[in-house]
This record gives sequence, C-alpha cells and structure tokens, in this order.
Amino acid sequence: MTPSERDKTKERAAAAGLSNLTDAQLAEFAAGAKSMDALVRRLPKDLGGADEMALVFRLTPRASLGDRR
Amino acid sequence: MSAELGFLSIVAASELIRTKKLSPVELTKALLARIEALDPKFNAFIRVTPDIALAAARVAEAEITAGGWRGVMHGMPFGLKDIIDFAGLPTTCHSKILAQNVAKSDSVVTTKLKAAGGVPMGKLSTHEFAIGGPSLDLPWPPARNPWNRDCHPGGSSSGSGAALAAGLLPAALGTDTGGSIRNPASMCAVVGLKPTYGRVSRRGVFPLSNSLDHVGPMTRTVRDNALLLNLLAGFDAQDPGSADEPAIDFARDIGKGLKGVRIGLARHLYTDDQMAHPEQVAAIDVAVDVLARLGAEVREIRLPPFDDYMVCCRIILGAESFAIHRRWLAERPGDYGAYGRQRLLNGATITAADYIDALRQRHRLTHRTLEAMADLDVVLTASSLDPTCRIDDLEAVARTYPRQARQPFNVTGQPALAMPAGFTTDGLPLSLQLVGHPFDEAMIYRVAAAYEEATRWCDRRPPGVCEADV
Repeated sequence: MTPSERDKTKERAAAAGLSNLTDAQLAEFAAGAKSMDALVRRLPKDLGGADEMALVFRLTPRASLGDRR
Repeated sequence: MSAELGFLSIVAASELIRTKKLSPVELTKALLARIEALDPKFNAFIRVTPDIALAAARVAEAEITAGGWRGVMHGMPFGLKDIIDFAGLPTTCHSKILAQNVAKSDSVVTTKLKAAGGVPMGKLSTHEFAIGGPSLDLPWPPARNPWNRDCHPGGSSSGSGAALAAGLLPAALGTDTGGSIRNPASMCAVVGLKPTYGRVSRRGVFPLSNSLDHVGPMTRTVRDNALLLNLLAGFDAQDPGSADEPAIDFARDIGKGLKGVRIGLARHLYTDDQMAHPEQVAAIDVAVDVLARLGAEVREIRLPPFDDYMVCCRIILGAESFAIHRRWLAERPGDYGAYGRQRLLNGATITAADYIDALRQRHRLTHRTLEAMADLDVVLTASSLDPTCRIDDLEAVARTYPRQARQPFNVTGQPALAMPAGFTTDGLPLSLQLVGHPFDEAMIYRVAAAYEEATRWCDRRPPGVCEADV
C-alpha cells in the first residue's frame, strides 16, 4: 500500500469502527473491502418497489414470547 | 470389536440397545477408547467429556434395563460442533476470543438430545466462528480428513465430519450458513442435511449470519440422518427464524422406491457456471443413471446462475457476521486467526442499502428457484466441485473452497443434503447434493436412501481406522 492508500484505508476502517488495526490487518481490511465492493457492483439495482417485501417486520403474539422478555 | 462398534449405525446400535444385546456403557467405553487412540491423528474433538458421557450412559442403561427405552437416541453417543451450547462446558467457537466462554445453559438441540437419553461425548472442532478455516494459527489444531490425514475434512463442521468418518461417533450436529454441514459431509463421505430454514431451532448456537444459519444432523447413513432430524425439528417461539410447521416422521417415505419421482438435474451449477473436477462430474452422471434405473424421471433444468446466489449470499453473510463481530474486531483483532479475521472484516464496508438490496435479491432468487422446480420433487446437483486437498496447501484450499454448489440453498432456505457418490482414483470422497421443496425433507430422504441402498458407498471405511489399526 502507498502512504495515501494506507491513509484512505485507515479512514475507511475507522468509519467502520475499526481504529485498532495493525498495518497487516489494515491490508486484510483493504483486500476484503476491494472484494466486497466488486460483489456489491454485481448486485442488481433494478428491483421495483414490490420487492421491498424483503423487509417485512413480523410480530409474534405476546403468549409466544416465553421468557424472552 | 472396537471398529465394529465404532461403525454401527444409529439404527443398528439402537436396536441392539433396545433389545439389551448392547449396553450403552459398553458402546460409550468402546467409542471413548477409539477417540483416545485415533483422535490425536484427526483432531475431531476440541474437548472429550468422558465423565459426562459415562454418567449419561449409566443412566440410560439403568432406564432401559428397567423397561424405559425412550427411542433411537436413548444411550446413543453424539457430539456437538463447538458453537453449540452445552451447560457447564466451554463453547469456544474454536477461537481464542471465546476460549473461556462457559455456557450457562443448553441450546435447544442439546436439551432435545439430552431428553432423548443421548450420550454427550464432547465438543467438536470447527472453523473459527464457523467461518475461519482451515486455520493453523488457532488455540486448537484443525480437524484432519480420515480418508487422508494430510487433507482437510471440509468445514466448518469439520470435527463432525471427521469424527463420523473415523468411526468415533454415530451422530453429530453441525451448522450450515454457506454450506458448512454439506462441505464436510462431502469431503468425509458421510451424510449431512441442512434442513429447511426455520426447521431446527438455533437458540443457544453461536450465530454467524442469522438469516442464513441452520443447525442440522450429520450421520453415516441416510436413515440415521432422518431419525436424528425427527428429534431436532420443531418450532421454537424464541428463535425468530423458527417455522411453526408440524413435526412429521422424516423417515416415513424411505423404502417407497423412486417410481414416478421427478428429479431435476441442475447440471449447469457444476459444468457451465463453474466446471467441476472430471471425476466429480462423472460420479453425478453415474448417479443419474442409478436414479433413473430405480424408476425416477430425471431431466435437466436451469436455475439462476450460481454467481447470482453467491453474490447475494456473501453480502448478506458479510453484513450480518460483521455486525456480530464488530466489537471484538475493534477491540481484539489480534485474537482472531488470520483467516477468520479476514473473512469477518469482509463485511465492514457493506452499506445498509447494499445489504437491503441483497435481501431483496434473495426474495427474487428464491422465487425463481422454486418456480424452476415447481413440477419436480427434488433437484440433484453437485455439492463440492473438487475432492479435498492438502490442508497445508493454502493456495489449493483458497482455490477449491469457494468452488461449490451449496450456497444457493442457504439463500433460498430450502432443505439440502450432501452424501457420498463414490471415490476418486486416489481414494478421496466424491459427493452429490439433493435439494427439496421447503419443509419436504422427507422426499430428500426418500431419494437419498434409495440411492444409498443401490450404491452402498456408506459401507466403505477410511484406511487405518479399523480394528487392526486401533
């Protein structure tokens, strides 16, 4: 990594809450970010409003919550 | 005698136990002796629990002697992947991060196995947090493949696969987020089922990616697998992903034959989208002939391209796993193994909008997949695209691990089973995968059992694990 790439990577890691990474770990982070950016570019972006169904939030009746409360 | 007991199926052992021809204590002692003799070669266990096992075996024996046989798992040894809680034992997730993490209570699946009278033999190796492996820089060594100990056994339920193949256990639990039950099943020539999403409670199991995680049975035979699922399945109101579906006997259709069963061959997943190893392709070609000879109607189908599922799966898994590990990655990054840390860091830059797009794409892919198999009973495809490779050949591991056809069915949540489909000329396991409609595990078992009966790959044993060698 060049010094400027390193600074950018450090900034990006800090934005994700990762301020304690060593240089070697920053390199891992940079590699992961690059590969994930490439994957994200391959996600379809043409989904219509009806596809928001993915985000349905579902409640269960009070009785079925058991000791979770 | 030790090897004979080591390779008893659940069905065979439980019948001997029920009829009092085999004592659970004798079986447990025999398996503990095998573990002591063989596990230093295979590292299937992180922790063996002989005291707990023998105490449970003695209780089971007393109950059965008194006429209180409870079912097939009564007095039956089992192992848990070490991300599954067992009260009083550490759940380490094979990581320094949780090396001292003693479980306060049992997971739901542990509770069910205990209630059935099962004999807990210990905690099994995994990849770190079910994602980082095989790794040589963790507090415990990685599991090795009993078919060739220089090779990896697949993962992340690596100890589960290795212990079954080596005849150390008749039953093990694994978890599967991107293929982690089916990969070791494929590499170790055992049977592993990822049930339908929601079929088995994940409460008390350390999560990797909540919307993709599944807990499932691993065994040496198909019928054993169905019987173990009978015990594990069931609604749990406290697992938000749990499905309120009626429990059935998953073995009910085994033996009904394949006449009229419609099988879709998703060949493109291992010959077009990616090209599998030639011996793996040939093994599935032979399996198609076997299934057709048994009366099934097999025809080729096309699902969405593998890459569409892979992209979707990796973004969801990356975002969800990073959310779970964010605090430790921030505070203790050096306490992860390198491979686990790299994999978990992958999710750090995924935005909320990217994650939501992936969830939306998941719905679309699921719809298209189910549409493609609307007039079929099961889909046949590959599980792994390559045989196992040397565990210390990092380049080969990195190249072959992502080459699989399992992730699509974590995305769609459908039930999917991996099982042996022969061996390479070098004697390494080959495999196939059967995928069913949601909540139709029984049909998968019907087809898998017919294929197993016709081929009997399950009778082969790895070299060096039978009596003369122990």
